[in-house]
Amino acid sequence: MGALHELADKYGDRVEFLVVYIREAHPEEGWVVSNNRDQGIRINDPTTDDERRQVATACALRLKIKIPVVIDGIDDAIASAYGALPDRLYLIAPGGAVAFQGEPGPWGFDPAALEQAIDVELSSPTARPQDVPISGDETCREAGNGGVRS
Amino acid sequence: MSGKWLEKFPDDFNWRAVTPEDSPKTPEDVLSDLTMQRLGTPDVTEDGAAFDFERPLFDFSDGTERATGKTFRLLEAARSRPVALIFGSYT
Repeated sequence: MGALHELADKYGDRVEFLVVYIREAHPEEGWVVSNNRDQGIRINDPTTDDERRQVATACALRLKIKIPVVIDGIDDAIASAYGALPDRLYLIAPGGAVAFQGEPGPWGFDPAALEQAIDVELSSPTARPQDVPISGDETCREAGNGGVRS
Repeated sequence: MSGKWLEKFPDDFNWRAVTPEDSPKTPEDVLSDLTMQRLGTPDVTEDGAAFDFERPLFDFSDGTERATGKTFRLLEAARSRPVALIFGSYT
């Protein structure tokens, strides 16, 4: 999270940063990766919202996440809409358009690309529409790697 | 910029080198899993409309779990300034 915390520190007065905790990419029932085992991380894929909240909490505390966090529901509605598994970065412009869609992680997880997109967005704050139709339900949707990483 | 996760494995990626022998599944299993395909394939597109969501907001910045009592709604937050979304999990 180091690079992302740096971005949040640098741009936090002009850009809102949010961690969206999603479905486990490498749970113990799935494709397990050695890096997690080496770090003592053995996570069974949560099956309820509360289980996911508990895992998200353990992750946020271990990684010392300073950025505000929301947790996708067990129906994975947010991750599904954003194709977010295993990890991914986005920038949403004022008005609700997707200004930047990062490549999927882990190889495409690129905080530097996000920063570049932020610079572009901040240099042309009125370039995007303010009335973009909402994709998906307008009401609350109850709401999945490679880890929340930098 | 809308590539799918499962199409992004580098050609020289040696998954066996990073997978313990007791892993129940392999990347090939993941590749064939429709749910995983769905979760790695975005509906939203660059320059298209964001998918709105509303979820309880948590703050772990002081080293403890703290439900803020606030609800985050994406399009409300993005009304006045850009919002950077960082998707990920523990594993």
